Amino acid sequence: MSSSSSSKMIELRSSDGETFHVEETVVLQSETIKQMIDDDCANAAIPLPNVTSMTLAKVIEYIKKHAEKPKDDDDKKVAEEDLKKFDAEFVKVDQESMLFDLVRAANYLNIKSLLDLTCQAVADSIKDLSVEEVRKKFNIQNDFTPEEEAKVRKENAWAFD
Amino acid sequence: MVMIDVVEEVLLRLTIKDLLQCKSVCKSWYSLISSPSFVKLHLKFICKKEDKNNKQLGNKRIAMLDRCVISNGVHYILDIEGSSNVLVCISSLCDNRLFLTNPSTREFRILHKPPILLNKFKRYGFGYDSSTNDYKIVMAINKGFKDGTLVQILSLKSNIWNFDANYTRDRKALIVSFNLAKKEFIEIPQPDDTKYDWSYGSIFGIIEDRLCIFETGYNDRPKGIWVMKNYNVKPSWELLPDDYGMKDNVNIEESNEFLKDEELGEQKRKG
Repeated sequence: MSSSSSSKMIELRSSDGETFHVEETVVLQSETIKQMIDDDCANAAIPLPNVTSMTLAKVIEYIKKHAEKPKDDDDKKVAEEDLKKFDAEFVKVDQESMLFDLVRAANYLNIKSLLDLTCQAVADSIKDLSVEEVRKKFNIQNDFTPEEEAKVRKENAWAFD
Repeated sequence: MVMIDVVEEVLLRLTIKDLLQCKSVCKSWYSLISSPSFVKLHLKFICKKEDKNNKQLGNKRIAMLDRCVISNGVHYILDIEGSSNVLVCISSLCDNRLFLTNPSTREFRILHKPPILLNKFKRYGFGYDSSTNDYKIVMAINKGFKDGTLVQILSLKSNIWNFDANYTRDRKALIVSFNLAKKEFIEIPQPDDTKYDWSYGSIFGIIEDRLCIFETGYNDRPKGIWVMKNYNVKPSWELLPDDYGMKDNVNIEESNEFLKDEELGEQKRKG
């Protein structure tokens, strides 16, 4: 199968059955999908059972923006600035769960720059939180006994200053 | 519930201080953050971000600020013997004790003393051996020109001194590197220039990631710095001007040890 034609469209199907048509050159940013295309598995719609339509739409918005090619060097600088602004806005999502969904999608689709961007956004958001707040955010049950937790905290007491 | 592989990706992007706090979130986070594979990945991550003067790690090579520590009324003179990645090896001169510390996590470990301790001039080197994924401490004892230099190695994983060799030499002053992986000595050529002279005041260091030799002046400013531009290439030694780097804020870091890949330089002093 040839992947030379730039206008070739790839069909993606989200977990809730919605289909998206994306240019092959754009979608190649996903290592997972690239592999499927290389393996000749992309003649029909590619099912993405782990990604909802809402998340997939966001991912496509991201890879489309990142696929834009600047025309010349002057344009390149402007484009880089523009991309930075886009990235900063992109991770400002209304619902926190969306950010986690994007991390998971970037991980599954293997889009390195998106994984980097979203993981850094999550990391930045928990930087100043207390341990209790981190648990709440990640929906984690504390499975330490009070004694165990006190011991762990004592090991690294200075970090809580 | 967030999947653990995604959690790992997020945690890798936290600072060491935040990570230590996160250890008390739950048991699975505790074991993830404590695991050697995670520690290694995290180190790679923060080193990649910023090569020098990393806010988290400080400068990769660390200078000694305070050599004297008083504990229980006893004065100990401590020396930094070397640093690699984020670990710093410290020795206590009067009782030959060796310590390893990770200033980022404030962890601390006492190492075993070498089996052979002669009352002679000693030098240490500290480095990482990627062939065994282990840190090694090299101790060289100068037994005199005739008897050569005794080299002993401690591997950090086992905390055991498990190697020793005697290095004899045919000239008085030479630079010898020791390859931690191959356990091989290699002589490093010295500058072939009438302006170059090795003396007791000469000190090894690293400038811009290259081996250098300089002689300390009275005001602690080097009198001239010899730099080996290409590692182990004799004609590449170059004399830098006295005021080199003063304008560009280049720091010369005094060091007993020189580290490049698995190689580690040990100076054999005159007998």
